[in-house]
Amino acid sequence: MSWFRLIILSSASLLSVVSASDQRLPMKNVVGIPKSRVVLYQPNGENFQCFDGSNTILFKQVNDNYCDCVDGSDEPGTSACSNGHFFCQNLGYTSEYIPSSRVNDKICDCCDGSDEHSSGVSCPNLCEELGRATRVERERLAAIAKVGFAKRLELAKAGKELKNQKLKDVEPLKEEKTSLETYQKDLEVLKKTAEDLERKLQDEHRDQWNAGQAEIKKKRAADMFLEVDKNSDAKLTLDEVKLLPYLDTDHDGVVSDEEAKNILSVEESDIEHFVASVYDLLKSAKRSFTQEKKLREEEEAAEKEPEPDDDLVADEDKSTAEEPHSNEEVQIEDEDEKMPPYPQEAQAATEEANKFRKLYDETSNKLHEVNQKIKDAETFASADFGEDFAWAPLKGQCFETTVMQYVYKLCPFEKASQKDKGGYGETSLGNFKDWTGAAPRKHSKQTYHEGQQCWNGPQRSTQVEIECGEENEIVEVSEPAKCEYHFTFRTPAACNDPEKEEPLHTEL
Amino acid sequence: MVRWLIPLLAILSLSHAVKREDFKTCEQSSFCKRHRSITDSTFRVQIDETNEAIRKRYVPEIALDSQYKKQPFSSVDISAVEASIVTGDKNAKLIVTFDPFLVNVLNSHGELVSQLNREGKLKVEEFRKKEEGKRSFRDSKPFGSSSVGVDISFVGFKTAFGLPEHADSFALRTTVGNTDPYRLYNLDVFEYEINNPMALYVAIPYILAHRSNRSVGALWFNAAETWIDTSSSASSKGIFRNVLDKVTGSAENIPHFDAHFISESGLVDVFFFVGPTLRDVQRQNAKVTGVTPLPPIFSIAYHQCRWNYNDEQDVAKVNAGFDEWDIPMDVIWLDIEHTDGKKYFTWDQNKFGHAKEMIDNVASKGRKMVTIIDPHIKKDDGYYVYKDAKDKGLFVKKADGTTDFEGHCWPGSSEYLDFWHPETRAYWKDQFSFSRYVGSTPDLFTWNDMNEPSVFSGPEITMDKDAIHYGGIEHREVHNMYGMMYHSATFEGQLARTGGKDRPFILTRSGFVGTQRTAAIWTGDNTAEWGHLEISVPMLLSLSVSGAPFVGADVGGFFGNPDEQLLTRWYQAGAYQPFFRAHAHIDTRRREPWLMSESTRLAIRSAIRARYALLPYWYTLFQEHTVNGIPPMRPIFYGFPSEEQHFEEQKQWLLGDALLVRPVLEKDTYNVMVNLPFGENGDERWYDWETGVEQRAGQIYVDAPIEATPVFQRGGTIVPTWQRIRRASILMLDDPLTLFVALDSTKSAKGEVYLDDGKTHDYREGKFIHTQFHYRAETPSKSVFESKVLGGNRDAKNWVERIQIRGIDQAPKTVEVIRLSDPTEVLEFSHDRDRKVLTIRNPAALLTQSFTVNLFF
Repeated sequence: MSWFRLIILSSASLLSVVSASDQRLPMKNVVGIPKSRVVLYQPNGENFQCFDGSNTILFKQVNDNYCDCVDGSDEPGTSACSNGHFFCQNLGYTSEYIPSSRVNDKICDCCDGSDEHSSGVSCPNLCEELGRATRVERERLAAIAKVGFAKRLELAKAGKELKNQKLKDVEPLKEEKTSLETYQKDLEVLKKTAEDLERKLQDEHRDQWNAGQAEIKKKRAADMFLEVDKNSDAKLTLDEVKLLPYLDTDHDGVVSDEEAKNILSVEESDIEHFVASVYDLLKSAKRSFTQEKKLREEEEAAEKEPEPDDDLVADEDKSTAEEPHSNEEVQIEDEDEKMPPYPQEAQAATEEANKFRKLYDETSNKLHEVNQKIKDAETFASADFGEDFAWAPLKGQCFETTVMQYVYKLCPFEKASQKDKGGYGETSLGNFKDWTGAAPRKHSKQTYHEGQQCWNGPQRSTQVEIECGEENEIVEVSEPAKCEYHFTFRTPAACNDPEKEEPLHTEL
Repeated sequence: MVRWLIPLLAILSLSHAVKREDFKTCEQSSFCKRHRSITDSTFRVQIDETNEAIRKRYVPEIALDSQYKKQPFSSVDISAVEASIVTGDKNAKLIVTFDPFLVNVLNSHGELVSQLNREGKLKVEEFRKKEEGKRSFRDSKPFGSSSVGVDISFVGFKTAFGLPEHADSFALRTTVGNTDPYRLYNLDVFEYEINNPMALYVAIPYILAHRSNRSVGALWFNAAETWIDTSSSASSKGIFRNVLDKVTGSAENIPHFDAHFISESGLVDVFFFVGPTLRDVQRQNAKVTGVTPLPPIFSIAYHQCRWNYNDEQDVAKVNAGFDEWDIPMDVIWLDIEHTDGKKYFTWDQNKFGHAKEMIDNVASKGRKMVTIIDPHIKKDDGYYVYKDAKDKGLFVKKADGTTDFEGHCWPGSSEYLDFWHPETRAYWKDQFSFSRYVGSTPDLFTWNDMNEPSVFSGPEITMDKDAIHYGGIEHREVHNMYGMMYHSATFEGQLARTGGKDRPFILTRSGFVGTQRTAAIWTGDNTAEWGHLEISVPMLLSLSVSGAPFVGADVGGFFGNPDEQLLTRWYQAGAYQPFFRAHAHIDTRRREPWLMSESTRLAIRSAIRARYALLPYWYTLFQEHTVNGIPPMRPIFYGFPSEEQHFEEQKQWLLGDALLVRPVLEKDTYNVMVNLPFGENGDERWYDWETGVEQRAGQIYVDAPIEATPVFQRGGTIVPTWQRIRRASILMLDDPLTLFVALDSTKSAKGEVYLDDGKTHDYREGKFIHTQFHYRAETPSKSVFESKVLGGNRDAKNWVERIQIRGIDQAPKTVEVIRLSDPTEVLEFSHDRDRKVLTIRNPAALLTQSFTVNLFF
């Protein structure tokens, strides 16, 4: 893009046109820049070059209320450039830049009123007043900071002591840990030896009994085989099996082929086949049949009696009353299937093994406890309680404030919560997540998250803004968005050394 | 004003015809027809019961513009079989045939454009004393069924628009055989669904039919629950023969768009706006139903809303936030939580105990505030509004006509003010006085919500149909205009509080015919989903073509949490829609722009700033609307009435006649297809609004990175802008203008600007400035830009600081400005050869004085 510069015949008309609002400004005194930049606005011949080099214009076009430079550098004193800045000197207060769009907009932005130089609005100079008020406020804050900082030093001291104490407490724990670990290893060996013996003796006993059981079963099966083998031809057929009433599973008074085939799946069964494949089926069929028969009889009996109102209860009563009886019968046959107790020797081995198991478990628990203690102490010692550990004593404490009908509670490093004054139970507003202040002021904010879920909303969370104060207190609670809370928490732990604070602005 | 009735003879013939037309409910009655002509090619056709009817049918006359003028017909010829009636302006004709009964509407070209009762669906159920039909336990139906219905055909038209408010396509679809009919019954719909004809908050029973260079409009003037079955089809000319034979040539397959209107009560009462062009129809409608008066300028700037800004500190922070991040903003809104227990006109003393200070503080930066005021009044004897209204008997009554109607709404048990009662209106008006509304100031404006009315405990969340209004009117007869009766009373109150000096601003959710005269409309409780962003365009276009131009949708979506991409795209679309307000449900996360990532914040900031730059253009468009009814947000075919491929367009729209907007409405989309019309002669020229680079017409693909909104300037237009974006619109009022001149194929362009104090009614006394711009190539070596004052005597300070000409190949040799009573001055300029853009430096000429800029090549 290139500018065709042409002869300016007259600017009188321009002046007359714009005088009503944004007057042509005197050239020698460039409005809207700090003293430090005056040098940049010295005429170079009759030209001015935009700072970004985008254009070269006549110097008298600087602050002529028309934006010639892409970077806005030609119009520091007018609103002509949409990306420009105006410098408020604000003598007696703090200097600042404001966006050019606030120049001559009929609103006083600079406390010295310099931004409204041509709008017809007369702005009072409030800088002295503001400066005074700011000084008073700063002094007030400084006083608080002084007291607070003294307390912070105490907190830091206490915090460090806590930390040291914890670390100190850890030393014996560490020794204990070592000895517990050794002891645990020894116990492990002893335990294993005892358990091996225990297992060996028990296995022997069980094998022995199992062998006997097989014999018994064989014998019983043979007895039953004889009983069922009506024609004594050493073979069972379907017809013979059908004579067994307890195979009538559908209770129609007849044992059908189907019912019999459920038990006898072959044409003929000899004694070996019977022991291996039929005996157990027959035995359990007999057992179920007996049980079912009992139940049916009970039901029939119950139907005859008029039902009381609470029939459910009556039913339950009956069944519980009858249960042991029916079980009894089944158990009679099962009892000899139960292994007899281990012999003396095996029982002694179990006692020995139990002793070591118990000791081992106790030691493990203790070790776990000790490890936890060590971990807690180390976590505490390495936790972010501020550079000087001043926050450490606040862990474990809680602070409350009441706003309208709610009591809000903050337990730093743990949780935030809310409770209705008249109600029971707390609503969690979040558990401690981390320090979340923007660097370098990381310790200016904490976030608590994953609190109680909101109806139709997110899990509750809380941002805690931290300020310096003489006491620990929640000074403000708000809910900027549903279920997103904001606390302001004041604490001496956040007070900085007033001596090291940035010196007050020279212009104050 | 003359009311013109058809002679008795016609009435007798008609009633005779009606009886033979198988109107089974008409046995004991005859119909009275009154046909009135309004100035400007408009007919009104009414069909009523005779005077023997046991009850007068309700006519919502109050919804019409009180200024509308009636005019005698220029001729009425009645024969035994038909009557032929010509409007006063002789440009439209009605031919009524008696047997079968048929009303034919002909435009100034003698073309048959509409027919009433072509399909013979005219049906009127008479009032009866006994209850009949299905009775619901809630609706006592003391007068039986009194429904009315008739079919209206738009002959020669395939496409039609209107019938707001539905979250549905812009072009009306065929409901017959497809869906339920379009329903118009103002309701508070929770989380409404898109793409269906369900009723929403607004009812404007108006259809605009359009074909190449021809338009016609019909307004079914009825305030009761209404269903409209629509179909677009084509028929052989046989069915139109009667009339077509007389007036048109031959056409075998004649398209027609048919609408069957069915209302639960009221009159058959139809306005025909006969055209023949789109602009004619828009103007004719505006003359009858009125226009949106010039809005205060803050109301067309950016609004910041949320349910709810929690307290005064919150308001102060939000206000300061916009300054901190240098984002312009004009209005902060307070939703229902600002009140003491949802008692409107009161403040929660814990949170808003210093209302006046708070408002003054916001106003000190040139900004405004809005509070919500709803029509349900908390039943609480300690609440002065309730007590006053109870004592004066101002509430809507139950079916018995004596006990107050009660329902549940935000405050719990509530009663509803009856705005048909003159005393209610007078009382309501008083409530806005600064002494009555404690804490209010001239910088506080009003939001009327829940005015369908919403009744949580009522059938379909609204008022029982047999509730009784003043004068024994049944609610069923007037339901769809309750919202309008309410916000118009609010308007009267706001007008009265400054003695008529300041312009009111009211936002309403519910509306009816005529709402535009007193309120802006937003599309209610939408959702933060892409589909809702996309549907906002057809919804706003439907309202705009139906006479309600000041409309918008909640930016960001009311329910749910938009992600940053959706929020950004919504701001970009909203920036080019008439009412531009961000709003959010109480259960959603905060959305102030600075809570987003930096890139999103910057994209939102530039979208809002783009709106502020265009405020002079927007304001001029709203002024134009007051003159001819044309809405600022227009369908593409408003600018290109013969280009059929754009008729159903609903992703892009025209802002005035100069800008075409196609915001990104789709997720993860960074390149969009834009369809730039070729123009009548195929030589239309278009320019990228941002860069000024010419774009060829037709379907083009343009890049739309997340910070960009595709906007194009039409060749032949001049757009006035403000380039000094300040905190609030009122602070920019005196700022100089930058004009964007886009050349057409003849190297010329036209435009205008209208400005005033943006606040008061002083413009009615001439305190405005209206200036026309015209650029043309006078000779090959000389082009001329002229600024000519059209009117107004405001002592405006605005000057033209920059003229950018787009589409100019060659740099001139010299540019000079000739101002009144000043010597000619040579101006600097720069020419960008690549972009073909010429920028003329500071003509420094006031808008209030005509001037000329000459370009010598």
